[in-house]
Amino acid sequence: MTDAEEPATPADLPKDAGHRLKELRSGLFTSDLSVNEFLLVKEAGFHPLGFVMGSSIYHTGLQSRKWSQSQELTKLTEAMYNARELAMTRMEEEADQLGADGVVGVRLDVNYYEWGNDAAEFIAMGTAVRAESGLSYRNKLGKPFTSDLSGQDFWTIMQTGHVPQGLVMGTCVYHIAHRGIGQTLGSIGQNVELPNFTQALYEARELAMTRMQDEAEELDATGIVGVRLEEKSHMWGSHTIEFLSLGTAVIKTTDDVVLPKPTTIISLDS
Amino acid sequence: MSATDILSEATTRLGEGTFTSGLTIPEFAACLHMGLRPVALVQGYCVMKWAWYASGSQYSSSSFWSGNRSNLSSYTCPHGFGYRSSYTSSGYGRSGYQGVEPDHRTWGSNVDQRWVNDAWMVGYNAALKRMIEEAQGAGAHGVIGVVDSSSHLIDGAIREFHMYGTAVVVEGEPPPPQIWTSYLAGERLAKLVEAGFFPVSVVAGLASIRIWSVCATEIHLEGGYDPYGTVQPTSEIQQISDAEMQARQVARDRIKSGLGADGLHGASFETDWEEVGKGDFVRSCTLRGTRVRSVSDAPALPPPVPTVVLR
Amino acid sequence: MKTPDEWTARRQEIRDAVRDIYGSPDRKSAHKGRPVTSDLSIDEALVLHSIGWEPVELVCGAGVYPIPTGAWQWAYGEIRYASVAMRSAFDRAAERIGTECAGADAAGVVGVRVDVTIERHAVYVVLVGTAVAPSTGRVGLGRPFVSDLSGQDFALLHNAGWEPCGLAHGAAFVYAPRRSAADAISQTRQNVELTNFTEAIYAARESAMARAQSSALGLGANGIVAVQVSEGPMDFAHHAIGFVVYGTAVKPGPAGHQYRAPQVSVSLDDRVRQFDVTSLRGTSTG
Repeated sequence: MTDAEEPATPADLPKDAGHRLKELRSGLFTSDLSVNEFLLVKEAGFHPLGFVMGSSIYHTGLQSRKWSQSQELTKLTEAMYNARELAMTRMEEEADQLGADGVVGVRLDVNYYEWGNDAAEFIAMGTAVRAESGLSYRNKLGKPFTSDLSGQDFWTIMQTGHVPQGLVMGTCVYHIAHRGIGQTLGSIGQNVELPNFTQALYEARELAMTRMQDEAEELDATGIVGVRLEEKSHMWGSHTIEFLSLGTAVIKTTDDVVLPKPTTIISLDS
Repeated sequence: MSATDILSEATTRLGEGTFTSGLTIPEFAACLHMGLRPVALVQGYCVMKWAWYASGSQYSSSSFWSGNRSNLSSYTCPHGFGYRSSYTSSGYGRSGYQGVEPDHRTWGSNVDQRWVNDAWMVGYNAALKRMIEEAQGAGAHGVIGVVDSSSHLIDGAIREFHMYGTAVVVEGEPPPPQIWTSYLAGERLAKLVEAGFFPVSVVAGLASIRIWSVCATEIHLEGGYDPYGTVQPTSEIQQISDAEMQARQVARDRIKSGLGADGLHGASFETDWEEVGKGDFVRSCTLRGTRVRSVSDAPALPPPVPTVVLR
Repeated sequence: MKTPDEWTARRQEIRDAVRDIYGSPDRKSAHKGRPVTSDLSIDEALVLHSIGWEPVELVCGAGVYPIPTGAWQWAYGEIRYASVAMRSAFDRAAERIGTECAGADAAGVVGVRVDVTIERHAVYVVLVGTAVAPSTGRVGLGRPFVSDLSGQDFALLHNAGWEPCGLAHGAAFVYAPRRSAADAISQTRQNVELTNFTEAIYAARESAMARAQSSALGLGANGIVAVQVSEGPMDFAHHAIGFVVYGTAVKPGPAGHQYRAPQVSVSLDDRVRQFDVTSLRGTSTG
């Protein structure tokens, strides 16, 4: 990267990040890609620049909820979303500092520490990469793309003529109503659908997936691959669940693609 | 147990026509393809009493002890003062100064407790010998896929050695003079042969290193740096790192000395730490592997083709 | 997959091998061999053989350094003693395994198992691996390298034109800052970022990574692959958090990176799927 001047380290990244990124800009690369992934990323025409990370410790406080009503807890939804966004944004800033085209192998983790009541650390980590051809692969917003694709999946998707645009996510924190005594007694001994629960969980998942799709639309994506739906109670007890929907938004860049014909194998290794 | 050690029950079981085998399906298929026909599941077992610290045990007599251990390294107290048994007015230029306390560990050592290895090898070899005898009884040529374990039974003072494997016959060949044994089976054994090697025997060795801490080690392990200022908070706990290395090196060298021109393949270490008393530890390390002999100059495989598997 | 002809050859090889081993005494002594000890699997040994390298000796290295009392008490900033102890332990272990490797006349160590244990008063680092060398001998190969790459990964990188330089490592230990009572009360009802916590922990993570980078540069490397990051609170002091980072530092060989397009295949193996039941709480069985 031949910059006339070095970009200043954004104020919200720690001081050490600045020194570390400077070292990476001058040619050293670090990556948590396995050797296989490293070689496939090179094959796809990209070179790893460095290990990038972003983190944020967020206090997810209380939100009052009605015991008998199923509803989305919007404040908590916002909190979970903001926390992850902060972590991802800092990771993208580090990638930006390195002049990267994108970040592959992104891992989103949540750590709980005993000393922080209701506080959790949200971490985003991945390997920043840059195209060796010199073409820019940044997304519509001019930022390096992020994706949770492994090195192998990244190579495979590039072969199909699609390019990742960003890791998109949608989240919804939902409170499931407790059932009243009347309702519980009424259905003892029966195999019966519980319409309240069905409705609640259906709605929660739909909300999460819709929000994820909205993010993909902002990036003008053709579609989303590798979608995962995760459900976690974090520290709120069993009637409050966060539904998190994650995937990689991709864009089709060319129709002129020849997919290699795969050979079939049966492995004799157990 | 006597010369023909195996139980009569084992003889009965092995005399029946059907075979049992501990091989997995792919291993079984690979064996048959290689021309190795499984004939029986064979095992050897031995229970040893492990009381070398108890009085009355042959291992606690001092003559046995001194002949069967070797000092690997010694450490002296860096404080430089000697221990004096009584008050003296001329100690080191300061009148009345007695030097360090009586229980100050002015000397420490890492000792290879050879008798532990000897006792362990008795158990291991007994189990191996019995397994081989069962295989002989079944008319086999070798035993593959050996699984061996040594564990405490009932309480710490008793140890069991259990070894089992699948006895096989090499089709179209007469029985060899000695039954060969191997931890490998199936595809892995086929690849070993492809590499130009053949298993001779399973081998194991043990090193039990007794650590008698010198004062510096103890001070470090308790989190201190000493009041005399000679034990630094950032200097290495030399005695312990030496012991860690010695345990593995001695186990490896012990096996190596018995290999002749053969090699040890697929070695694996198992370690154990015991605190016998204050400042008194034992780091033991068991090494197991298959002794293999080079029987042909195998040509190198072509470089592997990198493959991406679509799941 | 083996074809019937290859299996016939294999059967013949086994019969010959058994006859060789238990045949006449002269034949036995005619075979070359040296007491090689190795903990590589047969797959690793075969792949190494295909690039002309052989295992030589099972080697180990250990480093044990102390952490004085009081280091883990709640305070502010980096827990310097622990970070220094970890770095010294790693360096010492790598130095000793390198010495064993040179003593065995080998070029470097692969498949190193890295065993890091952090106790209240000491840090233990034990490295165990197999020293390997090219069959043509280790003439002119410089200082032995130490790497946690498997035999397969080493061969893959070798074929792609890269060579390992050593194990790069970095560690940082930090105290989680305390919140003042006023902060604690005002933050209870809000969903808000805890900035001083974030700074402390983020900074520690960055500095562990930065130290690993310096370590790599010190080994003369261009990059680190397969970095392992392990982080978490200490068992004996929950407010103390440690970050340990290590990976193999590599540099390109004289010919630079060699591109090799992979073949694509479809596996007909099905992983056995167990029935997956997800409860309301998001836990699943199976």
